[in-house]
Parts: sequence; structure tokens; C-alpha cells
Amino acid sequence: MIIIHAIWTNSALHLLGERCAGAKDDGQPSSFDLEPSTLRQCLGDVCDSLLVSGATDSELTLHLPHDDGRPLPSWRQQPPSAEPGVESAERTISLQPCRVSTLAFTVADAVDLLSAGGRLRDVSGVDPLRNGNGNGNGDLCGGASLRYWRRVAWFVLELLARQRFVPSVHRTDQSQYMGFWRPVLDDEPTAHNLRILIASMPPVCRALGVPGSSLTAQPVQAASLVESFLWKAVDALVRRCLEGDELAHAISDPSREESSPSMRWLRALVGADPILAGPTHECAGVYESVTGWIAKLESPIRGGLFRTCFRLHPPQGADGPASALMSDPWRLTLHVEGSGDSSLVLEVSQLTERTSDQPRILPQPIDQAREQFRADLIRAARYFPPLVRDADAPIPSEIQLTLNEAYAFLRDAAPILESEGYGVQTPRWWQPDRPRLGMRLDIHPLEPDESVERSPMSFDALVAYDWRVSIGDEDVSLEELTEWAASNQSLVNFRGQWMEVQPPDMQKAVDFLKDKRSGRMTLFEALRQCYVADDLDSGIPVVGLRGEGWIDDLLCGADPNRRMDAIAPPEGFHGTLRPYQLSGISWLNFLSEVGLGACLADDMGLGKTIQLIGLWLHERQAGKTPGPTLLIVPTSLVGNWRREIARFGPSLKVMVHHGVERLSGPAFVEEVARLDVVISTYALTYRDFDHLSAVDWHRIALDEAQNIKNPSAKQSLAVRSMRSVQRVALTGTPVENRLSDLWSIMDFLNPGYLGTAADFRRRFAVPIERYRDAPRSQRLRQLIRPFVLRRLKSDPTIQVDLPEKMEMKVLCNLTGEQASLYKEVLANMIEQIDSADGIRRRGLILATLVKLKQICNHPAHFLGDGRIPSHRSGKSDRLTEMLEEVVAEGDGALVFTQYRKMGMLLKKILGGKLGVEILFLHGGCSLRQRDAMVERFQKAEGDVPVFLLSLRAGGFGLNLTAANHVFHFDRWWNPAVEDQATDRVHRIHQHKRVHVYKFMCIGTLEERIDTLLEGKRKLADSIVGSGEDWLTELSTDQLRDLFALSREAVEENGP
Amino acid sequence: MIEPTRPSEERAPPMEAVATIHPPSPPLEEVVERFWEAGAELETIPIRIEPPDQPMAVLEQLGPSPFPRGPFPLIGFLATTYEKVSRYALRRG
Repeated sequence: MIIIHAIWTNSALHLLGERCAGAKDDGQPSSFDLEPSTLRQCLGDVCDSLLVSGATDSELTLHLPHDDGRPLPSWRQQPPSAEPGVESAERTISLQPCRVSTLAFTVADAVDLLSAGGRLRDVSGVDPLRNGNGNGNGDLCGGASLRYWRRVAWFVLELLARQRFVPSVHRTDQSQYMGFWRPVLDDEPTAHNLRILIASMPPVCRALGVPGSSLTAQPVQAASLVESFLWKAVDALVRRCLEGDELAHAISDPSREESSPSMRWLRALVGADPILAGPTHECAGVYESVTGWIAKLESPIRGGLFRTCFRLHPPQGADGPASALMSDPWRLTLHVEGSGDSSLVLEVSQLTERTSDQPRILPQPIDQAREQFRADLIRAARYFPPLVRDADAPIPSEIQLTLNEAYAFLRDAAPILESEGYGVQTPRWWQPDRPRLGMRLDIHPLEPDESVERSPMSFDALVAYDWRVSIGDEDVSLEELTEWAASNQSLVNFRGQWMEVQPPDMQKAVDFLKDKRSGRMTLFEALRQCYVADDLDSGIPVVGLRGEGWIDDLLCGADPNRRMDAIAPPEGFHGTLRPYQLSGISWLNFLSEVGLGACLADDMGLGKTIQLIGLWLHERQAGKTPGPTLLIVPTSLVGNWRREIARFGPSLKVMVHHGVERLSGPAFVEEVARLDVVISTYALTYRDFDHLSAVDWHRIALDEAQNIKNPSAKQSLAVRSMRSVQRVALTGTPVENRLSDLWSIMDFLNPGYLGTAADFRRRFAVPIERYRDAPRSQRLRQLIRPFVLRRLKSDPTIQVDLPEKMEMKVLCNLTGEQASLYKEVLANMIEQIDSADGIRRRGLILATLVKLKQICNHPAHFLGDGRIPSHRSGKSDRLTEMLEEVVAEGDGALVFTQYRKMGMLLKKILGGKLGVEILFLHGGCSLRQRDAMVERFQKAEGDVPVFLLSLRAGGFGLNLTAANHVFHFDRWWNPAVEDQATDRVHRIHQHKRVHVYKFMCIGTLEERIDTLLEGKRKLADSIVGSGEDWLTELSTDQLRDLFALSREAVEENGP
Repeated sequence: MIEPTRPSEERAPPMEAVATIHPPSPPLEEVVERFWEAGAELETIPIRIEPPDQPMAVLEQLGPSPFPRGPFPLIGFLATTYEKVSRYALRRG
């Protein structure tokens, strides 16, 4: 007869065979030396031969009962008098090591084998003790241990069938992280059955022993074996189920770009390799997130009269915290506090000693309190075993911990205990926002004689760099790092303050610093080191840059607290520059002197245009001639720029390179040589590339620089290939939040600084945009900070500079289509007006006015054809651009138009372009609809950021303070009406600065009437009440002048 | 904490979180007389390899994913996994 026994070793289930020669209790010894091949053959007869063939031959040393040096048969009943180790009349029974041959099954195969039906079930269901000589199934039968592990295997299947498992993550002692699936055992029926399983384990299952340990002093625990089997079986079987699963396959596909920590965790759960790859700090983040998440499954402590609290105290050295030694013990003190009043804190001694003034938070009798406290402590010991070193000892008031235990408490136990409802007080230095170790790159300019033949201030300047490790503002010395690496401890005392370190990372940092700590390189290369910090393998995250001298100025940008020289308002500037605008000009000037590209990305309305004009004027002071700037702008802004330059810097010599009569070839080059600024358009940079690139520009400046966001577009390529001493980009969009735009703009400004587009996407765009990688975002912000200046209207330093309501006129060009329609209508109508009189003449004038205003708005408004592609209306294009910035900022805007038809068109245009719902309130809306729209806009918190209103229906009586931008798309020529509309926003409860934009088309009646009214303000005020009727009193010649279309009005898309 | 009986030879799930609130096992020398026997209670444990009373109960207890912006819809993936694993176990049972 052969009896099969099963032993679980924490890594495999071993089956071994016991050969029995004779009948029950015949005194014949058993033999456990069954050959694996025989065992394999026996098992192959009764169960899945594939599983058996997959098992490996192995050996174990088991401690088995022996009698006179010979192993006793398992089915032999013990003589009643036989006491262990006691010599009876005839024999002595003792446990002795016995080497046995086994077949080892992986845990997943073991569950399959044990849970399988067929003859193995019959075999293992037979008890040789009850079956006489054990011949239950021919010559093979199962021992109690086989039956036992079979029951555990079913328990595993029960857990899986009932979906009682959860994905988790584990940190090893070597600070390695592993993904695994663990069982959920906390529901009462499961916990009950688990207790029975543990209690009924046959002792033979524990016969393996702990190497080097006494079986008596350190017995193998049944709970440990059962739970280890459960955990490993659940993990292995879930992974087996996911083999071939499409989603799991997609997750583990190594060619996928995603490398976020959460993705790597998923990979560690579905693949063969459970190791969670990636930097330690990222893995630690996953560990904290996941353990916090699954802690919800544990039963929180609720309903008690008090709660148990733990407070960790670092050691105090003889001379204060700084002198504390690594070997000094840490104290974990235990307390209780009232569950409804955390200010009532008691020492444990008040639980353990009966006093006359028993605290009122304790239940009656005090024994119950002690029981609850002890139960809490035992529960807490599941997560932190040192809490109960001796279950029989009195309740302690404090527990001494080693350094490693203190770290385990802080790192692993404290968050779980807290989520379990315990009170946990950790030292202040362990708070989430505690200063952490970081690597910083210090860059210093070299003395002039040291940087031979290099530009003293430029990307090419030779600089000295120095990598430093710091905590907060304090530098850590190489000696300290070396000591920490050697100590192999995760908590170290840094000048009196304890902090967490990872010894393997410390060693990496030491190696890195010894190898690459300092040296010289160009500034460009030094900054790039920070960019490619991921590749440095320094062990410590790179957290920042610090510079000295002019490099400090560069790295700090236009921070008003820095010492970058502030320039005076430039001579020849007509107007007043606010302090922040002067600061912006200083910054532009500094970068220009250093030869680096600059992106001025101030909020819309803060005056980017006049800052660039100020820079031009500043550069030309004292007769200097720095050379011409090529200013590239969207077609719709050509006129606006010309007007603004003429207004604020009339001394600047400007040429518009645009339209059919523009210069080309040598004539163009010759003309440019005597100019300060050439304004051209994005479209022409490609078409006129040969002419434009023939000039050695001092500067190329882009307005609305997001126009080059597509790096492969022809105009982007053309712009990037032109030569210039310096490059400037103006944009109102928050480029730091649109990383593809940012890369394109930065690559124009400082080619190569952010690497290739693909490299940038891998290092920054994907981690930041997809995974919200905050440290990487911080590093990118530092990298671009020298080159991007963005001030917000909400900045306190800007706030004090600005009035509560800012008005600006937005000048737009007509498109070619608009211009031809305008001319046609004007020619036709002027002729009719001239030949008419009286009421008919007045009617014709007002009709002409309406038609021309419709054309200025949009050709579709005039023609009614419903076609709304881009570039059909300069005004609507500009409105769209500006609203894109408003939406990107999270602000709200009202757009007023006089015309319901135009409102409908804008609703379609803006809805399509902005991708948000556009509300439109007009005279046809019922009172209920009107109230609903207003309420929605006021409460939407950014969901509906744009509210279109007809001036008549929405210009009064509403409170729309959720908006802080007001756009007047067309003009009423009545300031009182426009102001009343603006006041929907600029009123009580408005906490933001209000920006008002009045749109008008350059060189049309819109601009002329505006100028007329501005110039004759008193007159205008006097005619306010008459609306537009005053126009009907003008002579035909006056009307012709007023309505005429000037040449500059037209934008031209083609040569 | 209970030590594993033998150092694991493979990368294995942890033992540290194993509950330790069960009564300690006696030394083997004290139980030699029933060395090969299972406790009688083993037979009292009912075998119930059945579908869950409430599918995805664990997921519901857990609540939203700890990685709401992660590249994969974790909860969806887990729901699929729970169903798949449950079906597998029911087949085996």
C-alpha cells in the first residue's frame, strides 16, 4: 500500500509517498523513500497526467515520529501510554529528521490537482486508519494531509468564485515593490471557516520546520501556512485566468508608450513578473494609493466609546535631537481618546488602574474598557505586530521600537491604522509636505578670463556647474550621503531632524556625485542636463536649478524681486507704461542681449503689443540702430498692429509687407534696411520665404505664436528656418498648459532646447498631460521659466496697477470677400442716396449703414447664406481667438450683438470652434428661458463660459457677474447703451477685474464713426439720445468720406 | 509575526500581512499522538463553490479607482477579471 501525503512549503505543494509493508498496527516500520518515478506513475494513474508530468522531482527533510530510530507508519495508532520523548516500557517516540523524495507542484497546479474530480478524489477521501490495512483504492490511498490541502484548495476556489479577492501591492524588505492578488478574508463566514481550517491542520503539515530553529521554541504556525497557501494560490490562479485575456495582453504589451506608475502596477498584476518597475518614489506612490484604497475593505473601528491612539516619539540624544543615535530606541506611546471629543486624551495607566475619579469617557465597568483596548491593540497588531509582542503581558503604556520598526510603523502601519479608525500621531517631520531629498543643479558664470573666446552671456557661454543634494534649503554633504548609504537604514538623523532615505538610492547618488559632481560646459548643455535628468540615474529626483550672477537673472525670469535692471520708460513712447509692462520690456531686453528667445505670454489685455513697441524704442535710444524686426501676425491683426505702432511709437519706421503691391527681391531688401519693423503674415512666410529670408533680421517676432503649433505645417517650417539674432513670441494662451504648443514655440525661440518633438512628448507631454505627473510638471516649469513670461490679470502685483474696468478697442481687418461686398454696396447706395431726398434719403442712409455693418460682421450676416467657414470674417475670427483664451483661462464672457441673426451665426461659429455650449439670449426667448439661461450661466462654474446676448434683450436688467469679459461685437454708437450692457458684468458682487472689448473693422465706417465720436466727445454725448439718426443729417460727401473703404481695411490672403 | 517555514525560492506574494490573531500552534512534540490526523472539525466546513450573492461586492466597497486618470479604466478591468475568475472557479468546483 502507498499513502500519499502533502506538504506545503510556502513555494510549492510537495506530494510524497509512504510505502507500507503490512497490515495495521503490525509494528512494521514505514518507508518514505518512494522513488519519484514510482510516485509519478502512481499519481498518473489517478489524476491528470499532464499535471503530474509538470511536477518536479524534489526532496524535503521532515521531522517525523520515529520509534527506535525508525519512522512510524502514518496509519499506526499510538499506544495510549506513549508520551512524547518519554521512554515507555518498550519504545521511545520522538521526532527525527527524515529525508524524503517528493513531487513538487506549483500552487496553481496544486489547486487544479487537488480540486480535480475522478479517482484522486476517491483516493484522498479514504482514511487508512478507518480502512483496515489501508487498501481503500487498490494500493494507493490519501493521507489526512492530502485531504486537508484538498479542502484548502476548495476554500481557494470558493474565494475566487465569490469574488473575494483584490489587487494589491507589496513592499519587500529590499524596498522592492510587487503587484499581487490577495484574498479578502474579512467577512465573518469566511473568517469562521478559515479559523476551522487553521485549527484542524494535521501536525504533519508543519513537519518541515524552520531551518536552524527549534521545533519547540519556534513551532511552524498553521495560520502562516494556510494563509500563505491562500495568498499564493489566489495570486497564481487570477494570473492564470488572465493569460490570453485581451485587455491583460494590452496592458502587458511592452510596446505601449504608457509608463505611468499605475500602468506599471497593472503590468505587475497581469504578467509573469510581479515586480513593479520604476523609480522608487513612484512605486512608493502606488503603494500608498493602493494600500489606502484597499484598506476600505477592512472593518473600521466604529461605535466604541473611545478610540485607541498611537504616538511615535523619536529618540532624544543627551544633547538634544541632533545627538540621537541610530541605535537609540524609539517610543510608541499608547493612549485613548473620547470618540466624540478628541481633546479628551487618557494615558493607558488610567485604564489599567482603578481610580476613584474614573474618567467619564470610559464605559462601566472599567474591565470592558480594558477589553476593548486590548481588542483594538490585537486588531492593530495585524498591521504592526510589535504592538503585541507578548499576548499574555499586561497592557503596556508604551512600546520601544528599533529604528527599523519605527520606520515600518511610519511607512506602512500608520496610514492603515489611521484609515482603520485609530488615532495616529506621527512626528511633524513625517508630514506629507515634509522636505525631501532632491538633486539641484547649480550653475555659475565663469570669470571673464576663464571662458575664453565665448560670448559672456549666451547659451554658448561656458559655465561651471555643480550638482548638489539638498533637503529644503540645506545642502547635504557627500560624506553624509556616503554615511547614509553605508548605514543601510531608511531613517537618518540629519542635523537634528529625522528623515526618510532609501539606502540604494543613496548609493546611486554617491556614485553619481563622485563621477559627475561638477565641471564646465556650455549653458545650453547645463540646462539640458536638467532636461534629461531621467537618464542621469542619480538615485534622487532632480528638483531644480539655481544660478548665480546673470544666470540667476536668466533663471528667475522677470521676477520683480530679482535684480534684473529695470529700464526707464523709453523715449518716444507715446503713452504710459505700467510698472509690470516696464518689467516686461526689461526682461525682453535682457534676453535679447543674451541672444535667447523669449515668449511673452501675458494674459489678454495686459499690453503685450505695447511692451514689444517699448522694446523697439528702448533699443533705438541714443541713436542706436539694432536692425529691423520681422513681425509676423495673423492677417486679421495687420491693421491693428500698424495702428498701435503709429499710436504708441510713431517714430518707428514701419512697413506692411502684405497685399498685391508688396515689395519683393532687392527692392524689398533695400527698403527693409532703412526700417525698424516689417509687418507680415503667417501665410506669407511660406509664400514669400525667398524674399523674407534674404534679410538678416535683428529679430523675428510672432504675434499669436500658437499659429505655429503644428510643427510640420509649411508656415511653421518657414518661420523656424529664417535667420535672426533674436526671436520673440507673443501669445495670450497659457502655453504651459498646452504642451504641444509649448514645444513648437520653444523650438522656434531656442531650437533644440526641449529636444525633438518625440523626445519631449515621451519625457514631459505624456507624463504630464496623461498622468498628471506633478514633479515632472514642476521640472518643466523650471526649464521654461527663463524663456516664458506670463503674468495674469489676477496677479497681486498686476492688480494694483489696473483699473477695475479696462476698455480696449479691437481693430480687425476685412477679408477680401467682405471688402468687395462693402465696395459694391457702397457704390450702389451712395448713388441712390445722392439722388434721393427727404424721408427716402434718410431711409436709404440708415439701410446703407445696416448693410455695411452686416458686411463688417460677417458676409453670411449680409448674404444670409449660412456659410460660416473660418477666414470669411476678420471680426469673427478675432472673436474666436480671444474667446479661446478666455475659455482656456477658465473665465466667463458676454458677447453682445445688435442683431439676432448675427447672434445665431456666432452661436454656431463659437460652438464649433470652442467646443462648449453657447447660450444665446435674444428677444424671442420666453421669460422662463431667459431666467433659466441666466441661472445656468451664473452657476455653471465654467461649463458654459460664453453667453451671447442681443443688446436689446440682454443689455439691461440682468446680473451676469459670472463673466469678467465683455465683447461688443458690433457697435451701437451709443456709449450709454453699451455701458449699460457692460454693467451686466461690472456691478456689485463682481470680484474680478472686468475687461471690455469693442470690436470694429479698420478703414470702415465702424472705425471712422468711433474716431469721430472720440474726437468730439462732447458732441457725441449730446447726440447720445439720438442713436444713429444723426448720420442722416450728413451731406452725401460727408457720408462718402465716412463710409468709404480705405485700402488698409482689406486683409489679403493671396499675392 | 510568524516566520515562513522556509525561505521562499521564488518571487512570492508577501507574508507580512498575514493575520496573526489565530491561536498559536503547539510545538510538534506535543501533538505526536495525532501527528497524521486532521482535526475533526475539518469535515464540518461546508463546501460552497458558488457565485457571489452580490457580484462585484468588493469593487463596490472599494469605491472609485485610486488612479482616476490612469491610462486604463481600472474598475472596468477589475470587473471583467472578477467575472472571468469567478467563472473559472465555478468550473473547477
